[in-house]
Amino acid sequence: MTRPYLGIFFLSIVGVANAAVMMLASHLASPFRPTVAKGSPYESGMLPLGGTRERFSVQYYIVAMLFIVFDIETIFFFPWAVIYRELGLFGFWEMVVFIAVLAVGLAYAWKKGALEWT
Amino acid sequence: METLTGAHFVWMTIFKVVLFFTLLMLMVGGVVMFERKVAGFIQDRSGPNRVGPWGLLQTMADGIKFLLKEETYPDAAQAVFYLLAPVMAMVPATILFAVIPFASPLPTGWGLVHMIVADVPVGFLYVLAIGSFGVYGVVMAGWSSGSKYAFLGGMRGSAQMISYEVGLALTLVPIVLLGGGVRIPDLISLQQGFTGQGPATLGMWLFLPLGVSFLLFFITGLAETKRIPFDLPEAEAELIAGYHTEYSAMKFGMFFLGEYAHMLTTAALITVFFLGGWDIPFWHGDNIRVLADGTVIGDPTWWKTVLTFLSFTIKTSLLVTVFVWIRWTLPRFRYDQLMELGWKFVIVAATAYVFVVAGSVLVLDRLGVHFGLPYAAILTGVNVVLLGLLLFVVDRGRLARGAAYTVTRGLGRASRRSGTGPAAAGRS
Amino acid sequence: MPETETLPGVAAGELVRGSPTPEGPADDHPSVRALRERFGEGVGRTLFDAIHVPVVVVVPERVRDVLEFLRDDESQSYELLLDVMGADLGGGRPLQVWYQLWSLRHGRMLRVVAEPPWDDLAVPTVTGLYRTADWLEREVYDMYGVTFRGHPDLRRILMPENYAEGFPLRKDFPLRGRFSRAEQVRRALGEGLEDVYALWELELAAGIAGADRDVESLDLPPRLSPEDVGHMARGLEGEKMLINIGPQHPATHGVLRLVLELDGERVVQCIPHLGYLHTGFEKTCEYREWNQVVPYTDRMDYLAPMMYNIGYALAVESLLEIEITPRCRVVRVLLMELNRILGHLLWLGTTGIDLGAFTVFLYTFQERERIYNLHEAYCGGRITTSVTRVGGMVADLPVGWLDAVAEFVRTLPETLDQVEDLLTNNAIWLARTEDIGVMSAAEAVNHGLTGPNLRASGVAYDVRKARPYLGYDEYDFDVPVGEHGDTYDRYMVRVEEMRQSVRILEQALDRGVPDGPINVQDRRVVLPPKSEAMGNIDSMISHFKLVMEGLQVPPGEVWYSVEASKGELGFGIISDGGNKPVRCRFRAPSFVNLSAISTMVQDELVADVIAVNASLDIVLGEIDR
Repeated sequence: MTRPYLGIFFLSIVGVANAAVMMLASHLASPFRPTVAKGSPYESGMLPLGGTRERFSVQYYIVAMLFIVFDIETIFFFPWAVIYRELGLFGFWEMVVFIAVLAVGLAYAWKKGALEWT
Repeated sequence: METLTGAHFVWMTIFKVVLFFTLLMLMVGGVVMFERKVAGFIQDRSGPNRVGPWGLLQTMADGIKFLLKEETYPDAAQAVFYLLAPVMAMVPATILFAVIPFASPLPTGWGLVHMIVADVPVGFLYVLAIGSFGVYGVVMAGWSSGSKYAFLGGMRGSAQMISYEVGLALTLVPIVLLGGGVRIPDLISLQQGFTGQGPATLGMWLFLPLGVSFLLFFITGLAETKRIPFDLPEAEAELIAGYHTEYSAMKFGMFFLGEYAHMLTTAALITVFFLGGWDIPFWHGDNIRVLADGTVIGDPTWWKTVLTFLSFTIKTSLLVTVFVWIRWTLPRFRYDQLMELGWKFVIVAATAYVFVVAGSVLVLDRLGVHFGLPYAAILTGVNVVLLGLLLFVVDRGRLARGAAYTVTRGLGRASRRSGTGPAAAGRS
Repeated sequence: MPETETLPGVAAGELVRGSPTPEGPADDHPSVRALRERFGEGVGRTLFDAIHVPVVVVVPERVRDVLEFLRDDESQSYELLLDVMGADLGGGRPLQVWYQLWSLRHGRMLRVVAEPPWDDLAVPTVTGLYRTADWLEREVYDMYGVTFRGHPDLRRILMPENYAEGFPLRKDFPLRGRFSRAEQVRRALGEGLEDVYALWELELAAGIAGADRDVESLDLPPRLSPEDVGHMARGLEGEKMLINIGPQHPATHGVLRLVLELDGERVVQCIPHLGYLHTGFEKTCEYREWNQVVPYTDRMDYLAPMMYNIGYALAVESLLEIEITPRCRVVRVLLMELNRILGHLLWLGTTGIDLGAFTVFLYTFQERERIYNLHEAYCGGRITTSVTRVGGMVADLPVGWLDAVAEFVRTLPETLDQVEDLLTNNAIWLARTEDIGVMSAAEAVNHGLTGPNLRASGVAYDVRKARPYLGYDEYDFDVPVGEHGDTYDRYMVRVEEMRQSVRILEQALDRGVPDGPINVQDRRVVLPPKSEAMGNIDSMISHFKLVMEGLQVPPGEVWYSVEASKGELGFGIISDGGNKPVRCRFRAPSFVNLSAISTMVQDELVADVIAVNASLDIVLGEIDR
């Protein structure tokens, strides 16, 4: 049962090892002469004013929350789709109801301006 | 012929992984070169032409430069995430390839070798799962760098990628509806024509019977690769280099490679999902399928493997060309427009489309239409109509009514005021 | 879509034309008479300058009232404040502050001059009347130390925030500065936050970070007290951030620096900082002979250098009251229109890059390259051309040059068509430019926009039509105007202007460049030919004097302007009869146009800041000078 996953396992190892070797090789081969200016964050050559990891616009987090809702929706879609042709009409209406509930949610978020950026 | 078993399978898998990984890295290098040459062609200039014959070694020279340049390390960075980000950007794009079948099975002395690194039974879910990993590299890089541009870029990138992730998954649902499974090699069989043996197949590349899915998948795929017109996380005119502003030398190179690998992966996925994978059109000799229980249908030979691999490569390259072409033609979206396109258009359209396909399947099954070419032909008809409607909506009827400017502005070119009238300002 | 606020008395798209100045002494000029009637003692001496523009000297305290009257009175309506400049005439004479006004409705120009005494260098601000005065007054403050009472943000603008050496354009300020080189370097290297941010920006950041920042402990710039800036500083909600766009940024077209206060991606406030390319050209020019100024001029708008070359020559020639030869006039028109195309092409390409359409850039640069080849064939220089001399040009046209121009003119429209194919009806391009950075006609005029930026808002003001120079009235061309004043209109106007420039070039080429000498035969300004100088004692003396002393320009003053690719390019020049200008002011169109950016990007997104900034077509060389 797990046999097919062997390929993924090996490929992951090779992929990660490759990335590690690349970083290591560059670390060994390249010079490293830090200065104060090099170490400061780039802000168009200016001294930055105010920190970076402050509180930030909530808009991004709303998108993230919406994503979670809708990503789960799509995950439910897949098992449904696999056996859809066996379920027939029942399956169709079942999903219509499921999506209708979610659609109300999206419509609400839309109306509330969660999808507006300006 | 039997498929491989036991130790042979393990060794062959290792061999395939190594060979495949090497090939992939070479191809990524090739894509970088290709993009620069095509850009040169589009922009009426030579492109790289100094290193090696016709500049073909330019990518290699760049690689050496990545290796030897100084790596900066910002004081404000959070070490673990800062170092992990480039890895997270590159690895998912490469291991996503594991479930993509790239040629017909190859008969060898030890048994039939599948030209796929890992023939897992849940290929679709694997694609979605690993595809989502890409966002970690972006958000880690943006967050850990300690630069405001990187932070904004990371924020943009994560919001963009997760938004389009949803659309991407939704556009795949109709395929599963038709195919009735989530194993990817079955999908290629679905697009080839088989009669009588195993589950029935459509025998038509899915970009026709699922045209809307194809269009939406193309758009979301492009958005996931973060290329123009969706390159907002790293829009150089706004955020310098976005989430990887603080990265230099090889760490930057890894983001760069990851991006091109991602582009290649997206092209390969589109090929597999909608363009028949390694199928050679109008020829039934390559119709080879291996059922989940190991039954082999068709007649695999080594030269068919070579030919189908070529077919796969050509299709993928054509898609890459389209990606490159788009990049050097279009301007960039603005952030809110991008999010609107994702949430208000792609997700809504994809969801609605799932039901249209589900409904069609229901009706066609009830009518008892043969699941094969006739079935596909009717779906194609439905999709042509839908695509027409969709384009009209997206375009707000501009194409149909002439120039865009006329519609949005309600007048001709406002600025072009030669001729008569009060604003024919200034004939002397 | 906001309705375009129209200007009273100026119909949208109606061409602004200059009206002839009435004959007689300056006191009979209607505006001057009206001022005298209304302000009596407040109005001092009056005169006409070299191009017959009335000059009115008013009491410093009354400046605001005078300008308010001039702006609002129906019979005056000087809606456009073209320039505010200072002038130190030296020799203990009072400092002058010039206000250059233009009435779009009546087509009249007027200069109001205030002469604040040295012991009380203060004038009331006119920022409440003309938004454009904001930066212009700051520049006068920066260079001369004139306090504009009531100015909302009187800070240094071109010099660093904490510049401590004094006021550079005063006559007693040495060319090299007051501090030693070592000290200047030390200060540059020891730069802290207080040197690169305005005090109230620091306050803002302190509010963001929630930390207490002691305003009293900061080194205040001269003449600013904590109370002065207190009203601008305000705390912020925690979600906002301050971010620098520039000076080292790919999309600021040079070393422009915009400090953005962001709420997510939305711009709450945009604070431009200038001066990173400041070289003190205006100061240097006061130490150069008249012809030696030319090389400085093309280093300002290096994207269309001949605009400055020719404009400067025209300004000095107006002081000398010499008429250039017919051949020279046509050659200058050819060069100016080529440079207008040169400037607009660069604008088109870089705007394309800023919005992500990279390919456009390479298309336009190929055409620019061809113009540069023409430059090189004519004068040897490609970017820094320095083609003019007072009274003529550096050389006559080379053989075959006109054919090369004709070939360029023939093939340019094809490239323009290709670029338009890529952009004009592109849905993304439209989405990125339509209704972005909208300026209504009234706003645009109040902000002092000129050139394509003003015309995109529907005001058909073009110096070539309003006050024709170089015989522009003999050419048949249109002035394209937009309707909405948004980024898209600015794009369309510029593309159309290139096509109109092609029309002008075609007409000039069809008529043929007149034969004859390219330089005036005036021995005051142009060297006599060698043969004559060797055989004729008068010629020899004038040759000697010109070489040894340089040409002498009679005493006088002028504010002369031409239509450059970026807007109205003004030259405020004062001569005391010597071989060097006493004051050489360049009214850089980009400087004034850029000052509107804060208004234009308010509440837009970060990406729009880039689009608007690009659409303004700035060049930092002339902004910072």
